[in-house]
Amino acid sequence: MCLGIPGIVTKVGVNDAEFAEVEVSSIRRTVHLGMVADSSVEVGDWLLIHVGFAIAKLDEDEAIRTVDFQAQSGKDYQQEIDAFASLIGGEDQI
Amino acid sequence: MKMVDEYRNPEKIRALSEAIRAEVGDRGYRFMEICGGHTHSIYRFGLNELLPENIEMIHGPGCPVCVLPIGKVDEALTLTNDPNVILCAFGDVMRVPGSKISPLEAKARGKDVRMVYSPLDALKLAIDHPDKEVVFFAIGFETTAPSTALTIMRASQLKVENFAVFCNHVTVGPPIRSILESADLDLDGFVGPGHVSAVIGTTPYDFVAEEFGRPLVVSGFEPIDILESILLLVKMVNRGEAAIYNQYVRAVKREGNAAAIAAISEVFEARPSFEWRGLGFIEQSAYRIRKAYAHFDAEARFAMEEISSPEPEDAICGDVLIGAKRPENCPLLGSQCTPEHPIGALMVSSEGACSAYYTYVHRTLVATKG
Repeated sequence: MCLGIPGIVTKVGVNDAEFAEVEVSSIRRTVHLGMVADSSVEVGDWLLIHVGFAIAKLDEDEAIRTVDFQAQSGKDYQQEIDAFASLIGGEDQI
Repeated sequence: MKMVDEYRNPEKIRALSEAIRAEVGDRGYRFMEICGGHTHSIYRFGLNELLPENIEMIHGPGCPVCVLPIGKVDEALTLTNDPNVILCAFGDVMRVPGSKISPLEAKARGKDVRMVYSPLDALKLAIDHPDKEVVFFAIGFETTAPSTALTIMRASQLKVENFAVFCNHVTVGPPIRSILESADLDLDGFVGPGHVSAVIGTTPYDFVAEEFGRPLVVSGFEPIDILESILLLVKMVNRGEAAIYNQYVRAVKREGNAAAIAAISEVFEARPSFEWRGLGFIEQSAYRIRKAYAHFDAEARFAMEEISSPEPEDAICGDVLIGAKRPENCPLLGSQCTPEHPIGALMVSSEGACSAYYTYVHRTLVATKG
């Protein structure tokens, strides 16, 4: 459950400045930016996502390598993606 | 895509394996990987097979689902006796057996228990159901604790009255101290956790070198990361050196993540003592919610009482958790306890030593024997 998955930012300033929309494996959802607040987050940036929060910014090479590494682990990555895709009431913005 | 292969390049893996073999002396080395993610990688890539026989990797207590005492699951489930309560938990937590049933089984029996991906989903449920009390069953090390803290801060900011957290967050330093103080294990060094360290940095491990004279290397999760970390540990042991080294520089800074640390200290304070599965009670090893956020503290709001529940009979989860026994020593593994029907928590999470052993070693052994 400590898995962090890389996602690419597709929209910033979602709901308010504390959130951004990211895409992971073709699925989009909003994530909280409270832990990366000390650096600017822009569309196209890669973030390491853990339980709906960006815990770090990643450079592109590291992000692509991590996605590739995790995708090979099969079941665990798929479970994380399924959980990432699960939304409460069809809306995930608070 | 050069970077993709850099950490799994077979030639580099072989070279590292040979470098470790060339470096080891005529003695035994006992290293503990603290993090369940590392345990998973070691089994998945068969890294044990690449190490010389005199290096033993001991699997540590760094899987948050695995160290949660059974009584905590029972405590959370008592909340669901109130039909007005919606209990929310992460997917892994849903499958952890309590003394009688798991949260998932409670759900099957009609209790309102819901799986969430994020604590923010639980907060959203509370906003959508103002007539219900929504409780988030929070577990996890410092990787996850800031997310819960920021969710509580968000709930406070939005004045969500019907949201609370049953806080079981734990910290990684105190169990390492507890293991070092236990004379039985006699460890030579540690592979330190990756994502936890991205939050807390490397300074909280300084005591390992300064007070106990043991080296610790914070490591990434890929085969080359882990082998590099083990090589560094072997070199330090051979030189009689004890230092804290950061192999995972691409994700971990010495000072950690200031915003995450600030969120933790804003919302949480240390509990005087907390029970760990396998390790017993450890002082200052977990967080509770500060009085300023008491409205969001399920323990205070629902007058929850501590439940102490015994371990399942014949299971050796506690001994496996501290590295005193190995998964293959358990009489239940593979027969009564499997990932599909876990008896102990180490079989629930893929980061648990028993699940990793079962998936990557046990099944292969059974298949080979026919």
